[in-house]
Amino acid sequence: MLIKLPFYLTFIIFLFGVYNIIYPKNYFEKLIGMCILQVGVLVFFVALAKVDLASPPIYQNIENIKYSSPLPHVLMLTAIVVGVATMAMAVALLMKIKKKFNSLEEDDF
Amino acid sequence: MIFDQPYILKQIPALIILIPMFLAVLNILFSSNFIARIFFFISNILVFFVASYGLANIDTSIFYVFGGWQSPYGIELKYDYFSGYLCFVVSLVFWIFSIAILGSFKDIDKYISINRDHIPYSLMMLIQSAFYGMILTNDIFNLYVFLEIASLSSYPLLTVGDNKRRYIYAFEYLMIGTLSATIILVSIGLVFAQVGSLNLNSINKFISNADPSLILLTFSMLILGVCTKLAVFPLHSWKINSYHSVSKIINAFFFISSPIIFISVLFKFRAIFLKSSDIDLILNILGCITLVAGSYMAFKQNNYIKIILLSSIASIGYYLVLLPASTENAIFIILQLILVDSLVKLSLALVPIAFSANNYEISFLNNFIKKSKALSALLILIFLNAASLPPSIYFFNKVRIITFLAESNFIFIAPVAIGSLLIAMYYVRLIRRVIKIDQSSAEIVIDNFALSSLILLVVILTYITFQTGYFDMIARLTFVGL
Repeated sequence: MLIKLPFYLTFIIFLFGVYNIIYPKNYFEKLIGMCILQVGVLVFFVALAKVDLASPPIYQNIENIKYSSPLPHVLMLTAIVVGVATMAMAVALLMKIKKKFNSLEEDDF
Repeated sequence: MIFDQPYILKQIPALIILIPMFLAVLNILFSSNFIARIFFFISNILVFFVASYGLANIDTSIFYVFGGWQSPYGIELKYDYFSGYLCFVVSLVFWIFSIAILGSFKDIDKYISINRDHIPYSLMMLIQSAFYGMILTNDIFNLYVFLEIASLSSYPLLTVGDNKRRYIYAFEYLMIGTLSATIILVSIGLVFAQVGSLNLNSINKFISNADPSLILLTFSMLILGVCTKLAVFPLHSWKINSYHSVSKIINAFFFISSPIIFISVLFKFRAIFLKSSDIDLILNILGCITLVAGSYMAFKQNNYIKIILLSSIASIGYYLVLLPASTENAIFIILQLILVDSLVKLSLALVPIAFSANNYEISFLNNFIKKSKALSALLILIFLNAASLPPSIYFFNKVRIITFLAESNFIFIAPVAIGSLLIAMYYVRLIRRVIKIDQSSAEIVIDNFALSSLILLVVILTYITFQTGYFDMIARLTFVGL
């Protein structure tokens, strides 16, 4: 049960993110929901990397040591960068929408 | 040694991706719309030559490895018959497109200030580079990275237009694009969890050891993500809204390229989801619904651009219905469909560029026959091809699709036939507009470069009607390679 806890946490974060994309009428809140969704995916990949009874993937000069997989961590660095770029683009679009329509509420459009 | 054929062939996968990327960055240094078009043209003609050379000379799959790290540890690009053929088709379409827009000085420039009107061309070249990367990559996380490069470059392009709501549509496109990319990323994580590798060759080898229910979940999520990107019904409204509200050049750019790329993504994973008949059924049902719904919605439209957008959505249905089949015949049909569909889509997309009007309600086609019989004949040929009426190659392709489905005892053949009939009906409606003579007359401005490209396209389509032997060869080689 404890081993699967990160995956349950991922699922909860995912659901929370999807809820925040669908339910709020404000575009900025939807954007925050999207960011939460992306965090859920990060947690999922990092949870995949964990190897039972293994140490973090940082080199230690010890014989016969087991490491967790570093690959998903590396992949998620890329995903974080992509997420930041997407968020920046989304905020730029929201600024333009706000300037043009003086509102970010979906019902006002 | 540098001019040895095997050495040049080995560099082709990297060249195809790097040429547009390099020219996109170089273009930023020159703040000139004219130089931007020249760079765009040079990038596309170079990639077309490289892709043609590669396809003509390839005799075995070429693996291009980054940083010396061999697979399955490193990232590699795979250039085989299928990816080579796709690169050839996409580069051909883009090359003709780049000729067509050489003279369009009053399109993108209308919407952007003069010191920034070269930037859309850099973004388009970045998107092209990402598309080629998605076709050629043999690593599924690298596929996601190229997908995000294409997406991030496309969001600013979707704001180039005069529709008041374009920023809202671009934001909605961003939300849906990011959501679908996130779902694809989760499915990549699930594949990695089962196989332990991100390399497609390793995945194909070891996925059969995985839990079948987990395979079903993984590929359902992958299909959901990719089909959202493809704008499969009912996830299509973002495409109509965002593409309809941008400039004609950008609308044409997205219209001609993005479906093929995502079809190639599904094809990469085809060897895996063939192991599950449930996924076949999901794809077949989605394909039929998309075909019928897309065609029906296009039939009800009165705006030319919306008609061709919905028609493009409908045509995705054919791919989804054919993809689960694993025979040489099915691959032949898919390959032929990819080429013909791309060229027909390009010709449809170039019509508003070649014949500029104030609005594109279908009445803009009225009285074309009075303006010029030659131009009317050209338009009629284009719409005949799009309607898949004889003697166009699209007609033979559709006959082949329906015959193949009937021989395979495909249970949903009626929706495919109905969808094909609806597609023919709305293009025939457009042909009737072209030959209709009435009092109304839209003012049309003709762009000579786009018109030359249209003529070139019709010639190419006529030529390939008689040259089906080449498809036979590529289909056989692709089938053996799979």
